[in-house]
Amino acid sequence: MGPWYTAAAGGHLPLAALLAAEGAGILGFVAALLTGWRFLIAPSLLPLLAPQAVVLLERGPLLLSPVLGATLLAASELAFWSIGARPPGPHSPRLLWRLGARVVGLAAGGVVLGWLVLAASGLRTAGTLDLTVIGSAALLVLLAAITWLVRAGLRELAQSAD
Amino acid sequence: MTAHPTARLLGYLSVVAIALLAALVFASPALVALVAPFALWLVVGAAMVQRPHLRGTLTMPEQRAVEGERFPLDLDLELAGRVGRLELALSLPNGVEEDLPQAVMRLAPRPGDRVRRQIGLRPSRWGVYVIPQLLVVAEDPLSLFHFTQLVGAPQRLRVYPRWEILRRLIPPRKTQVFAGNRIARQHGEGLEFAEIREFMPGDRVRRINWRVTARTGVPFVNDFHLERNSDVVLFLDSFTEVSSGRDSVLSLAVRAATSLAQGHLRERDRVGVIGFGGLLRWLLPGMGQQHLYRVVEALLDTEVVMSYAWRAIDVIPPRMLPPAATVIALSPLLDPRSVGALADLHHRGFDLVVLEISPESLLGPAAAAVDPLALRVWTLLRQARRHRLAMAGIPITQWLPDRPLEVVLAEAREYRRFAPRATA
Repeated sequence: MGPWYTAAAGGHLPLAALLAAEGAGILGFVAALLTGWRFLIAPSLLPLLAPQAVVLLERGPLLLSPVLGATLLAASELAFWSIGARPPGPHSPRLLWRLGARVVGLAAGGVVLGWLVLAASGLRTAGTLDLTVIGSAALLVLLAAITWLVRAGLRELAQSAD
Repeated sequence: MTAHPTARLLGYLSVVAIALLAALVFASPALVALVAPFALWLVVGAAMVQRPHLRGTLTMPEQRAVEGERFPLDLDLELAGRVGRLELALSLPNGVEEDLPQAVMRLAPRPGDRVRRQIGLRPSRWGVYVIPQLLVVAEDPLSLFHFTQLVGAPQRLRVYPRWEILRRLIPPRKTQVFAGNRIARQHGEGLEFAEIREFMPGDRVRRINWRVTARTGVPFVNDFHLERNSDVVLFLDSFTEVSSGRDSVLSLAVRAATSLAQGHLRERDRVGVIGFGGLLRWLLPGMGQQHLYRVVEALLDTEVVMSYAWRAIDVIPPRMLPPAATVIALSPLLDPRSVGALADLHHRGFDLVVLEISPESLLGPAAAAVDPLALRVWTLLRQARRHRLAMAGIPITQWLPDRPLEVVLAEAREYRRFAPRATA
């Protein structure tokens, strides 16, 4: 993060580094699809998201950021589905409908959620409250919620294993 | 069901955690907007995770099947809980294929759905197989966890070799004392006319040939051939194996032996089996439909067992080789021990016919990889063994896998008719 932070603080963007990150992300995606190794998909998302993060740090909130996140979510879901469908065999048409509905619904929900976050972060400049603290607290709550949900899920799974 | 986190859960969690950390470090909540769709996926997905309950059976209506014929597996699954995707996978043993080539069946059941399917299997080779349990993989609606369970119990499937209906068999030289369908050389009660001879005290009046008697003035009677059965011993050489992947010498030998056993038992002969190889197996001669299944079951257990022990014919139990039995040997003539045993059988006066299963056609592309000189020596050795048996007067015919067995048997019959009689 050092060079990007410097770039962000200095007011210029390291274009070569950003392009290299994008390229690495795309290569990772292609490698995941070619090898069928699904654990490569998520690490490929990070270099794809990193340039946008640098832009956000440099230029402040952008309305298109959640849309980019939603697009990457849809792309990674399609990649997971593609790898999951590799072994030949019949599949129910309902599966495709379900996948499409869930990806579209959650991507749209994610965009709305992202805009809400951006709106909250935009209020910081006009408001009197220190919204950074509120936002950080909200993020911690979100992280705690995710952790709690996953732990609950794992506990239930452990019970089912018993 | 056993649960495992998916690559999606771990990946999205990492992405969201790194973005949250960066947002906190750079004091920029806008970074969260970038990963908001991933965070939403995780939150909604974790809220929707539910433990699925699965009860199911995988039953095989028939424990026996015939090579190449379809047989069904009935699947009945009862699923409770919210499941986004259900995958059914059956990893079949080599030699058994699914009717439609499908590795995985993917379903999208609703809660409370009952899945009933019939999976068609087709065994491509005879043998004893274990059909494994069905692997059921269920995923929660947003695929954050997958749950696995094995359904059913491993089941044994016996696949009988496909047999060829043989219209004519190799007639044995000598018959036995039991009644059967074969015309014996001896005269007595029967249907097949043999000759006319003078009346002897004890002859039945109904057998008098009145025309000849009237012409000659001396009583003559019709004589008939007895109808007897014979003993046939199928001798399988299982010392060595040559396989093309799909077919093999042993596989062909077992198919031929099954066809011969079926044909001879239909003629009311007694049929026995000797598996002569690294491991000696035998089945005492018997007759009837039930014995056919005994023969087939015995043949299913035939396998090549590597052994350097020298085996002679005296290891075979004497009861296995009844006097005047016809021995039909199925051998690729690859091992000198089996050739020696066959020659020994011939010298002991058994009526021996050798069906040589040609392994050359099974070599396929592998033959190109072998040194031509080695291949030639191998072929010459087989020719020398064949020549040795032929010179001893043993009927020997070569069976190429693409030829019907009926043709090979016809050759063997002609050989026995015109070739010099075997002498001890």
